[in-house]
Amino acid sequence: MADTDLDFTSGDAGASATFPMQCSALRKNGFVVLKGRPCKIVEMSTSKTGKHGHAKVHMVGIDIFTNKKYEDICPSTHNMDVPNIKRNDYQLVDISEGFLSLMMDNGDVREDLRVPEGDLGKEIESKFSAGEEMLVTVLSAMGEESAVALKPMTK
Amino acid sequence: MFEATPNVMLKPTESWRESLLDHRVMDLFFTIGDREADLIVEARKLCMSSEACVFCQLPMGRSSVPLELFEGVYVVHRKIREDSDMAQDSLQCLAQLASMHGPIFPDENAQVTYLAHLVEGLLNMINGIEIEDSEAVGIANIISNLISTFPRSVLTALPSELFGSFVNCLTLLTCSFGRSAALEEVLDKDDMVYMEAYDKLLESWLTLVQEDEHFPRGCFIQPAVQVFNSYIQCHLAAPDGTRNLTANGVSSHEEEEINELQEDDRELFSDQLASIGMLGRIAADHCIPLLTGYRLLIQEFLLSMINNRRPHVARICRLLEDRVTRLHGQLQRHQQHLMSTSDTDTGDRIVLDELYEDIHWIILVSGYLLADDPQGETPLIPSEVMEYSIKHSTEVDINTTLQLLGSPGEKPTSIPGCLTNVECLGMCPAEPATRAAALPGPQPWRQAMLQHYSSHIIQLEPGQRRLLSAVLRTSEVESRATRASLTQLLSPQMGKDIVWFLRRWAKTYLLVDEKLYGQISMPLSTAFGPDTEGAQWIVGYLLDKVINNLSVWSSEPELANDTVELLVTLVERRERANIVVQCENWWSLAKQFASRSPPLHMLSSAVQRTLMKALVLGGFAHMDSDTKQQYWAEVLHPLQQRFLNLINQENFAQICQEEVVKQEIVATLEALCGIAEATQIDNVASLFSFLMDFLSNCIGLMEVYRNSPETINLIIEVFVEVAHKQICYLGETKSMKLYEVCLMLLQVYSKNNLGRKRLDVAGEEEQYQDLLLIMELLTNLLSKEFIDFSDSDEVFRGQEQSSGGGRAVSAADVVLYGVNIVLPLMSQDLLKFPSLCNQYYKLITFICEIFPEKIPQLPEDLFKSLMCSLELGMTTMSSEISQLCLEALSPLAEQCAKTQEKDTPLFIATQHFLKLVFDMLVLQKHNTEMTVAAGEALYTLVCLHQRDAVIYQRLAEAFNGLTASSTPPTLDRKQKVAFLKSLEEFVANVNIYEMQGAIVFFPHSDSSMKMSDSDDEEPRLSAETLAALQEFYTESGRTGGSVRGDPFSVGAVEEDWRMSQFWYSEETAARLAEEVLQQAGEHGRIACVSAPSVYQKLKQLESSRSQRASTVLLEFDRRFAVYGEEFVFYDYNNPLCLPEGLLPQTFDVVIADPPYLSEECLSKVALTVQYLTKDKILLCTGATMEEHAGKLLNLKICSYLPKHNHNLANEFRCYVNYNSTLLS
Repeated sequence: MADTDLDFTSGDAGASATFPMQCSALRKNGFVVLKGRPCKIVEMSTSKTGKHGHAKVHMVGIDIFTNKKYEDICPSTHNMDVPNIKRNDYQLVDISEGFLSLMMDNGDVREDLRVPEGDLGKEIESKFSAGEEMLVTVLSAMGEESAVALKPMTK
Repeated sequence: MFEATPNVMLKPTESWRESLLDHRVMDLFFTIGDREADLIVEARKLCMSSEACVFCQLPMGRSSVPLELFEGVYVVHRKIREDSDMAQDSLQCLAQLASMHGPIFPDENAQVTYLAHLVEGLLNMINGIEIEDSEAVGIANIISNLISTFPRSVLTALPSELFGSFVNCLTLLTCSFGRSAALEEVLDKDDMVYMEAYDKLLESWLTLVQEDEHFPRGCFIQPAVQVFNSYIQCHLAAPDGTRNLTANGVSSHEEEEINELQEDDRELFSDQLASIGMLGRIAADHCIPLLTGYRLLIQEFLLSMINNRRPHVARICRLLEDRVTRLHGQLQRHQQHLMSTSDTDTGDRIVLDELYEDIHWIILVSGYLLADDPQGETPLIPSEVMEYSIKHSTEVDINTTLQLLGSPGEKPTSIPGCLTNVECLGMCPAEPATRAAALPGPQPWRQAMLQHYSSHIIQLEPGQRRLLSAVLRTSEVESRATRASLTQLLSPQMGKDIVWFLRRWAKTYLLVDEKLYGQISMPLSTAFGPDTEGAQWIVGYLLDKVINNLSVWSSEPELANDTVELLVTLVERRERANIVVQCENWWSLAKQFASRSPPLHMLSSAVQRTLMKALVLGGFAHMDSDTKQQYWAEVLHPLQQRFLNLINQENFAQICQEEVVKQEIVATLEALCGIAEATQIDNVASLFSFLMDFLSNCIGLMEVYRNSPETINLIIEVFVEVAHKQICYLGETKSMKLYEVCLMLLQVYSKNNLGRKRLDVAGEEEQYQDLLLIMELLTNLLSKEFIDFSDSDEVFRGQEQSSGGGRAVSAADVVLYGVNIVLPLMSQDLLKFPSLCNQYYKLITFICEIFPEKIPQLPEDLFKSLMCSLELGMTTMSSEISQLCLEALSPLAEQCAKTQEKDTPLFIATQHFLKLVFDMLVLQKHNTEMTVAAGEALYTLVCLHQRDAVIYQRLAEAFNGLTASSTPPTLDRKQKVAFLKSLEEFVANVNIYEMQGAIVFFPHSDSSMKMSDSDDEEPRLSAETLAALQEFYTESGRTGGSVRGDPFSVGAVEEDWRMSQFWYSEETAARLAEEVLQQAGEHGRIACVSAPSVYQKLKQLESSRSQRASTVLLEFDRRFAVYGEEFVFYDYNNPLCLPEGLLPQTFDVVIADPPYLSEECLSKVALTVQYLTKDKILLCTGATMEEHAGKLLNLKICSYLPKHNHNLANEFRCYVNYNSTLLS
């Protein structure tokens, strides 16, 4: 599985951060860019003005990094931007000064990610100090990255 | 006549008749409790109670009372109708009288006479008055009861004149209610009384005309025409109709936001439309051309837009010309706008919308008129429509038709004889359409418009069906226009209506199976029967329509959905599918979809799934093997190929996160769901093996996408879908395969999810989507035990049986493995989400029912949590959930009984449940619906534990009256049934005290049963009646009424357990009376809240002693009104609704005995008590209420035990807030 010849960090260099999609094809629990932020769609409904009006899509999204809520309403014929989302699992090797040290598949260690805030961050820290080995899932979209999940290493 | 029958016991005398004429006396007559009137009280109660059929249970004699009364009630109603409360009562009384049936009528003649009386009275009443808003529903109820209760033979036996005027009156009423209902809609009223009444009447019409063979032929045609016309009128815009017109003729028009939750008109008004459709068929001769005529008009409208000249409507309908001319100007302006700018004037938009709305309703009515939509059955052409078509078939020149079919694009006028033919059938719409279509000119939008409507034009009525194809073809040829430029002006709603109509039509009319009909209309079968050119054309056209819609309307989810549903309809029957697959369009659609090329990929996922379903279904049509191979190669194989290519790429693990790859995967998974949905019994074999390949690959994907929940969920969904659709058809080996992959899925899932913590921004409930899906999957796998269509002759079956238990995996293994995963993940918090909670309990109940033997084998902690969740579900969840839990108990107890082992965890657990269920049934409030489930559980549990001495002893006592036989209960069905029955009685009678069952008889205990629901309205006196009653009682003095002997002796008024009345024993009443007298002191004031027997005792003591105290009785039962001014009517539901005379904090002591043992009741009574008392409170209620009594009123429980005349099953106690001798 680990193909050391491939450089992962540059793997998406050419890919654009977002791609367009017609509003009607978006789905709940999918992703969309609202007000310039990558969001997960948590609510989606259609409405129309008058019985013979055309459909409009009403979306409520939550910023996948900041948890802020955004809403938007647009005609269902419009195209919306959808962020390219990536998730990677890295092994946690160290925590120092609020930053995670994560080992990538090719053996390199990156130390540029903060310990996430809230319960998850606490959990990571306590498990780490208890000496448990774990994988941390890192979500990246539109040039931002953040740890979003942990999973104990399977023995 | 009735006097002659021996059954008449009560015959009101002349003096009664006189008194009937005065409404007050009449009402008193209803309520006074003396000997004869008692019967009437009962009659009235029965009348008012929602179940009128109790009449038939009445002894013969009594039941003739209402018969003599109804005339009186009519009169009364006319007198009291200004007073809406009382009018409601009398109308309801009448409605109940109208539903009288059963042994009360000695023979049919009696019934006829009764009905004649009733109808006559009704007609007199209605004709004499202008109906008030509040009366509409009442009157509709009377009529609807009358029509649904009396057999047709009785209705027809009415004097024809009377019947005639009844039908007439019904017609007029229906039309007028319809108009008022429309008005209500315009005014946006909250309370749609006319709508309700209109619905009721239309329903009655349906009942009438469905059996119209009993009635004189044709007697309903005229009424049907009238009702139909008025309906159409109400739904069309002025000047043809009155839509949106308020009473003063002003039209209102506002654009409101409509969200997706709002039902479409065709669902919302489906009952109305079905009735109207039925009426329309009755009068097919009138209604079909009428609809066509209206359509025609609309066609002309559009033509006027297209041709930009005066429409030729005059010829068709001179009356309407005015309207068209007026609007024509508008449309012209609109058109110019359109030419110059893309903006639309709002004014023009309104005009268009009006037009759309007209079309919308006409299509709806036509749809319901032409076809029924029986769920699950093969829809038949309604016989009326068939007759109509046959009748007109002779007027149709087949040759002309064929000629027309053969020359698309040519003006029908150019074919000799055609026009006449067209006109004589009222088929003009076809003509202008064709002509317009044939017009030269490079205005693509014209044709676009035309094409859109032509799909509507072509839906002419059956007699004209041959023409359909011609029009189709012409419009087909002419309308390859770009529609996009006009899309923004078109109405998606109308598009939706059109495909809905086409679907309904296609289901019934396309490829008529002649075998299903006794007679068939030639034109119908020649036009759309099997092997006709017409059928092929229409299929081609419909396909075009679908394809066009999918590209133009991809952004309208509902429209797209209706469109693909039309497609499914086309292919779900083999005969139709055979034609469909011959069309080139179909193949191109298939290719287009398989290659994921635009615009199909813009459709929402639900639509894409259905589209896939349709494509797969189409693949099972009859084709020669080459073609078939080719088809699959173009539809399914690309899917497989692309998928395999993708996942077998060397670097798949690395590229899997790339968006393109993810999209491809998602699309494939969606398509798989669609394929699973297409499963039918005859294609399951090939689809299953196709899907199985994918399923094993999907497990690999689970690993790859372990950190992206969206994809994981979708993968599980594929499994859920496959299990749901296919498992019931699978034979043993195949099920085994499916179990195996499911097991693998579960293993991977648990490996990747145990211990995983994630930070998910989604709503909490969605986070657990995977859990929900896993549970759904397990439930689906289990369902095989209930529904199994598998072929028992499967090849490997014999072998497997011989090899005995050597099966690799069984459903039980998979499911229990799954439960091992799910149980630890389900926490109490998660059960708060309704969807998870439902699915969870469904699953565990299933498991308990199917594999009870596996339950004791669960690991200890799992077993414990399972039992805990059962208890939790039983006690704290909704009634549905507790019902499920109760159902799970019996099999568990049976399992225990089978193994005969004691002291197993399960045995101990069941012991606990026995107590729980018993408490639930006997001591706590519970829903009566659950009695059966609880009873079953209780019974099995009792059987199991009968050897347990203590419990047995207790139960034996409790069930003394319950089990008639003294034999110990055993697990056999007969006994169980007997037990259930007596349990029901037991619960209903003895312990009605705190059973909600009491509500059925009396509304007073439960707020959810409040008066809001008019059908279930309980007897309740209006304010006026009360006043009159009280006055009457005062006049008649204290000794009057139903109180016998000493008016103040306890028991002078009999207990009425329906009101939850239980009098204290003499001693208790005396003890309590002494207590309050003492506490009140000389000249003190005492209030008895719902404690009449204490009041009575007080009065007795008072008369025998010098000590005086003034006492007031607050009581719900009006029989105590005999005590005059000291009686105050009190309903604990309105705890502070007290007469002005009762000032706050003016009573030295208040004694209260809340009628029900519930917190709700106590807390309301507490309000009253606190309001009344200066300080001292004496409360008598169940021992179980101790906590609440302390909390609400700061009362301490006394050791004194109050006793009742009749033993109560519940421990009863007194509570005080002062130092009392009762305490020790």
